[in-house]
Order: sequence, then structure tokens, then C-alpha cells
Amino acid sequence: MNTVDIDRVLTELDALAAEDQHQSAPPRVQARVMAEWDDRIAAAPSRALRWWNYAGLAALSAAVVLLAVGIRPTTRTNQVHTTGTSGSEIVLADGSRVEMRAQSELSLERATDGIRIRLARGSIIVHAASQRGGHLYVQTKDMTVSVVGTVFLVNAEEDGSRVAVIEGEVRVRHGDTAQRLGPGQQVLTGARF
Amino acid sequence: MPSREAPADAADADLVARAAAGDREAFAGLYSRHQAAMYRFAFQMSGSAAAAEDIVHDVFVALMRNLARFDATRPLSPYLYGIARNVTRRRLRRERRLIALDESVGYAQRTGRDELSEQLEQRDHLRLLRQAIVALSPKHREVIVLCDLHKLSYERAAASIGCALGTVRSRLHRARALLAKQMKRARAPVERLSRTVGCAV
Repeated sequence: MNTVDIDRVLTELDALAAEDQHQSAPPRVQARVMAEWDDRIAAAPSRALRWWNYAGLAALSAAVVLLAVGIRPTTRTNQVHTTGTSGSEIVLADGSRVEMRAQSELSLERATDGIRIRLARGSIIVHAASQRGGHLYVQTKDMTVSVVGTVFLVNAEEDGSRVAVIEGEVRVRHGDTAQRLGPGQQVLTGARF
Repeated sequence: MPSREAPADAADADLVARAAAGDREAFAGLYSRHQAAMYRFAFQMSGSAAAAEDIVHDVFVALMRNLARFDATRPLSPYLYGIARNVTRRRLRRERRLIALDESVGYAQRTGRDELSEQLEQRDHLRLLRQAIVALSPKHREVIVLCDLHKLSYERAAASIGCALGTVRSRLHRARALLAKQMKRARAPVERLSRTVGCAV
């Protein structure tokens, strides 16, 4: 590579640095970070589990047990949420694994033909087991994802959702439109995304 | 002669000491001083605005957890870049098969005569450059981002990455050559199209 090409790229890198120099994280990131401060440092310097951690773990265990023993559908849902900086993993009765990031909240319920995960906020990565006749659904407030056997990520925020497929295929319904997504593809809704 | 980073380091050291003692405003001050650099780093490394937001969050939560252990005599900025680098690498490994679809890193498309102005051509080149940076291997990408976009000294870049000064120099030399090669290849169709449309006009 000659020096002319390298000089040209260095000039373009300078232009890119100038273009990016006013970029910064949106205010909602600061709100999340400072909420974390209030939660972790100011309110409770102790590293011991607080009562809501126990409540979350209890809800998680109940959800897993409930699904594992194959209890019939009821109108009750099982809510799980993560706090702090660490996530959790839920293993469903069909072998599907749900990785929850910190600050996420979901509920599990029986659908007529499978299991429905309602993601209220935050991010999850779903490693869906092959479904035998049924479906696994993930629903945010504005999208529904149904899968057969795949790995995908769902992110739910106040102002939109994101579904990104890592392996396999998912079907996404958003309002009246439905589409299939393959590996490496993603769908975004809302202003944030 | 004292370095130009020295006053900033002293201000950081004061804020770190106060934040470690539980001062919320001091921590908010640290966030304000460093969030933009962390966001730009994460965005330039990942090519995704959504990922960059999460990475900034994770960087400052990690700082929060390690305030008591952080040696305030060391400069904070390389430490934060180091965390951002690790968080970004972890995230990219996990989502390595995702394609960033952010507008700002989308593929350059030239579809009409109106786009042939010099300004738009420059913007296309910058978009191609972003793509080319994201396509570099992580070790080459990070030296380009730290040294050429964030203008860190070789010493600070080495401290951020955790490697020797000579390694930064050699990686940067190689990374620039790779980038120049990729850009030459990427620019070729655009420039050919410019010439073709220019002739047609």
C-alpha cells in the first residue's frame, strides 16, 4: 500500500473524528446509570441480597417449576425481573433457555399452543428448543415473535422493540405486517432504534 | 513540561475520591466528563447505536462497582477505555452474527444525479470508512479508533489495551495499511460510477 493511499485514509479518519466529535450517549443512558447508583450505592451499600432479589428468585423458581411439571394453563402469569448488573437464565420445560440481561422484566404464561413470554422491558436472548407441535412466543408491547428452533435476541424499551436473529428463523408480527427473519437479520420499531 | 492531560486527570482523581465516598454528584460528574468518549468508542467499534448505549451503561456500572479499588493516582481515561474495550469485545462475540443496520453505517447507495455533489461524495466516503473500520479485526479496529479517531497518545492507547507501546505502533501501522487497502477497493465502484454519470451528463 503506498503512502498516498495511507495519507488519504488518514485525512478521511480526521474527517470522521470531526463528524463524530459531538456524538454522545442519549440522556436515558445517564438516567439508567444513575438509577443504578441509587439502587446499588446510595440506598444499600451492603452486597447482601435484598428482599426483592429473594422475591425475584422465588418467582423464577416458581415459574420454572410450574412449567416443568406441566401444570395446565391458568389465567395467572409468572413474573420475573432482574435488578442490578447481573442477568439471569430461565430454563423452560421444553429445554428452551432464556438469558435475561440486567434490568429486564418478563412474565411467562401458557398460550393455547405453547408458551408465551411477555417482555415488559429490557433484553433477552432466547435459545429456543425445537418445538414439538407447539410454539414459543415472545411478545413486546408492539411485536410478537414466534419461533420453532432458533437463537434470537429481543429488546423492549418504552419507545420501541428490536428482534435480532442469531440462528434459525423467526416470524415477526408488527401491527398488520408479518415477516420472516433469518440469521443476521433484525427488525426495529420506534424512535429509539 | 506537564502533559495536557494532567489537569483533567487531577479533576478525575478528585471526583473518583468523592464518588468512592458515596458522593452522587461526583459520580454524575465523572459520567458527564467521560460518557461521550465512551459512547463514540462503543459506536465506532460496534457500528450500532443501540449496542453503544448498552456498553456505556455497562462501563459506568463497572466503574461504580470498582470505585473503592481504583487507584486514583492512575489516569481514569485509559481505565475506562479498557473497560469499554472488554465490554464491547464480549458483546460483539455474543452477537457476532448480527448485522448492524444503523442508518449511519448503512451501505452507500448512489442513485441519482443530485447525489453527485462533493459534499455527498464525502459523506459516502465516511460511511464506507465506518464500514471498513467495523470490518477490521478487533485488535486492528481498536488501535484505529483509539489513536486515529480519539487521538489518544500511544502511551494511553497501550495502557487502555494492556499491551506494550511497540505493539500499538506496529498494530496501528498494519491497521492503517489494511484500512487504506479496503477503502481503495470500496471507493473504486463509487468513483467509477461518478465518472460514468459525469460523462453521461
